[in-house]
Amino acid sequence: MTLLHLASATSTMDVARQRLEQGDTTTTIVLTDAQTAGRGRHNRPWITFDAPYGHAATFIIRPQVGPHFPLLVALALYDAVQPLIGSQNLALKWPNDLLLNGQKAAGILCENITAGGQEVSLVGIGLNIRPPQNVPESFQGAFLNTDISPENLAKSIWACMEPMLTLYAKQGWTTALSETYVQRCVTLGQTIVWQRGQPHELTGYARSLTKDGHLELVAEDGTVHVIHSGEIFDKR
Amino acid sequence: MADTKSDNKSASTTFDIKQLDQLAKWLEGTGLEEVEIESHGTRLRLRKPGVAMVAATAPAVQTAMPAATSATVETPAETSANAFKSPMVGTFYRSSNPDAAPFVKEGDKVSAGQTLGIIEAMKTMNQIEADRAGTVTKILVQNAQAVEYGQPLFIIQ
Repeated sequence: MTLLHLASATSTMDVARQRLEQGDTTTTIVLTDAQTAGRGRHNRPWITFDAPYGHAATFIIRPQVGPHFPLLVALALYDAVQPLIGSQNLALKWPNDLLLNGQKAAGILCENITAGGQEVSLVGIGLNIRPPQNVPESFQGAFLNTDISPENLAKSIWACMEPMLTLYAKQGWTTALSETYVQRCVTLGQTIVWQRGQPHELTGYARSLTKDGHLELVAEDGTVHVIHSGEIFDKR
Repeated sequence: MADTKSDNKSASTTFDIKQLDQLAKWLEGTGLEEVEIESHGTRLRLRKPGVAMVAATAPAVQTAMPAATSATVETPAETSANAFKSPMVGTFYRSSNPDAAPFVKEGDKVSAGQTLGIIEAMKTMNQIEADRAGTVTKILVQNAQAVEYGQPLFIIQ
């Protein structure tokens, strides 16, 4: 594990990509104390408070992870966070949202890219560790409410993720991984709305997880659909 | 049975059940509707969707295709030769974000390894790269469109 700890960065995803393009073959974690332009999917902004209140890091995984990548990240993050939060309720929302007391507790961005001739998987993880003095009213995320340092949190996440990814590379999506995921995932059994592209929207019951890690949805008309992309929401 | 075609040019080679099963599974995962293979005088034709008819050397063998798990993908014959096909199921994006310019547009020359788009699957953004150099003569999918494995996305000539 090679950790690059920066005082400031636009986005750890951008720094990771730049370093790969420059031929970096060793760095595994890019961590920053302050992230000035954190982003989620489709370049949506993501706010992480500066250290020591927030954790903003990108993990570089060589070689690229298989199709269960986002589910494995969610499982590893759950393992890393659970010992820190006492009796608070932790759960996963398919495919890789971490919920703390029902609120989104992490921003996770998974990408498979080729940069500098290397095919890698990147996962950016933004977590808010504890509230700073002034939390904007618009902020709706959850805090872990613990005092771990961002660097130690990054190391813990890596310590949970690395062996899981190694096991997956050897054995694939095992029954044990699937069962653990299902146990932790609150989406299963819920009535959800699936948005895939525009303007397609479908409401149904999340019945099960397929072996590919996709979600099986039984629509209101009884038809069964396999969800592998797009957005899902709780039915309000 | 309409699509059964049997050309018993030679009885020396036949396709066994295992091979047929493998071919059927392979075909299901592609964007092709039909495939015809000729080997050692035996011609085999598999067709989607539903029940595909298989012809082989006598005795003729029929096999059922596994039920398609997703919508049938149409592959116009004229596009198949130079088609760049989707390597996965997901949602296709032509640019990195809604405000950005598309990675490629029709008429662009591309080099091997150049980013053509992004396919989102289970919230993972997969960078899709050209497998060869050429000119993008046609873009066959819209932004934010759902795509299937093997579905032609671009024509690169």
